[in-house]
Amino acid sequence: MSAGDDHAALVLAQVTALTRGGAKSLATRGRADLRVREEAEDWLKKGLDSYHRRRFGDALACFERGIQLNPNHSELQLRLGIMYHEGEGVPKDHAKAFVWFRRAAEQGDAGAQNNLGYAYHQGEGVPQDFAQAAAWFRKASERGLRDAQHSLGVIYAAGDGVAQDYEQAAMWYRKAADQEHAEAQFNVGTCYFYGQGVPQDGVMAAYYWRKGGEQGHMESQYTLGNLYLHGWGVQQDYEQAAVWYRRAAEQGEPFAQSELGDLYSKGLGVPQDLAQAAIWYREAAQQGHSDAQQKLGLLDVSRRGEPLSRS
Amino acid sequence: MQAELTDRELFLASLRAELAAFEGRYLREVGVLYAELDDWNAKIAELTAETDGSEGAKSAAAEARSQAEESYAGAHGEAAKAAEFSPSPELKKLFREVVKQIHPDYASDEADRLVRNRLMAAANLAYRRSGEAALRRILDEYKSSPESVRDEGVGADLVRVLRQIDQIVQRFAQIEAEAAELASSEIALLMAKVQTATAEDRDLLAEMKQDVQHRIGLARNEFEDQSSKLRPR
Repeated sequence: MSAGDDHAALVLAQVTALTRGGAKSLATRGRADLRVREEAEDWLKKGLDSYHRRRFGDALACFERGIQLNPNHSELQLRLGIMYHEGEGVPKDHAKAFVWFRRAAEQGDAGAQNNLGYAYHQGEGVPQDFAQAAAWFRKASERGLRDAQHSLGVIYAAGDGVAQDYEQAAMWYRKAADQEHAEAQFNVGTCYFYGQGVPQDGVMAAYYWRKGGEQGHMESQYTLGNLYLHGWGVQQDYEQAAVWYRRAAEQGEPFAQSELGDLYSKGLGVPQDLAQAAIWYREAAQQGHSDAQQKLGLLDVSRRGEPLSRS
Repeated sequence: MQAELTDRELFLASLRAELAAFEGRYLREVGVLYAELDDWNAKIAELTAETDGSEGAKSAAAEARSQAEESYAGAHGEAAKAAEFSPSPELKKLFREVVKQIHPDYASDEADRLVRNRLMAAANLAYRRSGEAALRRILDEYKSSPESVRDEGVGADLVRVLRQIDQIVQRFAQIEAEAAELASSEIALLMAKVQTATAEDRDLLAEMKQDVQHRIGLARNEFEDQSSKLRPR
C-alpha cells in the first residue's frame, strides 16, 4: 500500500475536523462522516447492480466514486480488487488487485483474505509465498469461509508453507465439507477412507462421498461406485454401484466408464448388455484408459469370434 | 389542563434526559476516538511544521493542535459523564407528582415562584439521573416549606387564577419550542439515525467506532512513517 493512497483517508479525516464546538461538533462530525459513508454505500449498491448486469465500465466508475468518498470501505476495496483481478472494465492487473485485496483483508474482510491467500498461493501480483498464503487462508477459515477452509486443508495436506499435518488437513476439509463444499467433501471422504489424519472409517468415507456425489462431484461419484462395488463401508450393492458409476461416467470419468462397461458385460446391477459395455469401454479407451482398450478388444473377440480388424 | 401540563413536562424532561444519556454514550464511545484521531493529525502537522519551517505549516500545526484540544475537551467533558437513562414507571410517577406539586406556574406569589423554580430545576436533574430518593426529598422539602401552606381557598381571587392560566399557556408554548429545538439538534438527529439502524439490526455506533479506529491506525502509521524519516540513522 503506498503512502500516497493512504493520504486519501487522512484528507477525509481532516476535512471533517474543521467544524468546531466541543461536544456538539463531535456530534456534527459523526453525522457528516455517516452521510459520506452512506453515499459511498449507495455507490457500492449502484456498482453491484451494474456489475450483475455485466456493465463493467459503469460498475468500475461507481466503485471508484465510492472509494473516493470512503477510502476505508472494505467491500469497495474487495470489488475493485476483483475487477482488476478479472480484467473487468479495466485491463487485467494482478498487482493492483493484490493491493486492493490486501487492504480489504487487513480490515478483516473474509472474502478478501481468501483472495489474498490465493494470490500468495499462485504468486499472482506478488511473489509466490506459501507461508503467507496459509496465514491468510487461516484468517478467512476462522471466519468460516468454506473456500478458504478447503484451501487450508490442501495446504496442510501438501505441507506447503506449513509443516505437513494430515490431522489439520482433515479438520479443515471437514469444516468446509460440512458447509457443502463438494471438493472438500471428496477430500475428507478420502481422508476417512485411507485413515489420513482421522481414524480409518469407511462409513464416514461413504457419507462424505455421497454428499459430494449428490452435488455432482465426479470423483466422489466414481469412488462411491467403488464402495458399492466392493462393499467398503456400505452394503455391497451392484445396482447402486451402477448408478454412481453412470453418473461419473456421464461426466466423462474414464475409470467409471470402464467399470460401468464391466457391469454391463457381466450383468451386475444392470441387465447384461454387451453393446452398452462396448459403448462405455470405447468412451474410456478414447481417453487413454488402457484396460478399457483391452477389454473392448476382448469384447469384440467374444462377440464376433475373431479379433477386431486392424484396418 | 394541569394533567396535560404534567404530561408535557414529563415528556420534555424525558427527552432531555434521553438525549443527554445518548450524548454521553456517543462521546465516550466515538467522541474519544475523534479526539485521538485529531491528536494524531496534530502530531503529523507539528512534525511537518518542524521539517518544513514555513509560516503556513506552523499555523496549520497550531490550528490542528487547538482542534485536538477542543475535541479532547468535548469528548472528556461533563457531557460525556451522562449515565444511561431508562426511567422506571415509579420514577415517572414520582416525577409527575413533583410537577403537580411544585410546578412554578402554580405559584401563589413571586416568593413561592422562586422556590418552585429552584426545586423544579433540581427535580429535572434528579429525574435525568434516575434519582428517586432525590425526587422524594424535593417533594418533602416543598411540603414543609411555608410557601406550600398558603391559604388557597378564600384568598384565591379571580385575577390570580387568570394569571396562572396565562402562565400555563405560555409554558406549553415554551415546552413545545424547547422540544422542537432539542429534536432538531445534532445529537438528536444522530440518535435518530442510530435508532433507525438498531431497528434494522445494525449497530451504527460500533460501525462509527470501527471507522474512526481505522483512520486512527492510518494516521498513526503516517506519523510513524514521517518521524522515522526524520530520525538520524
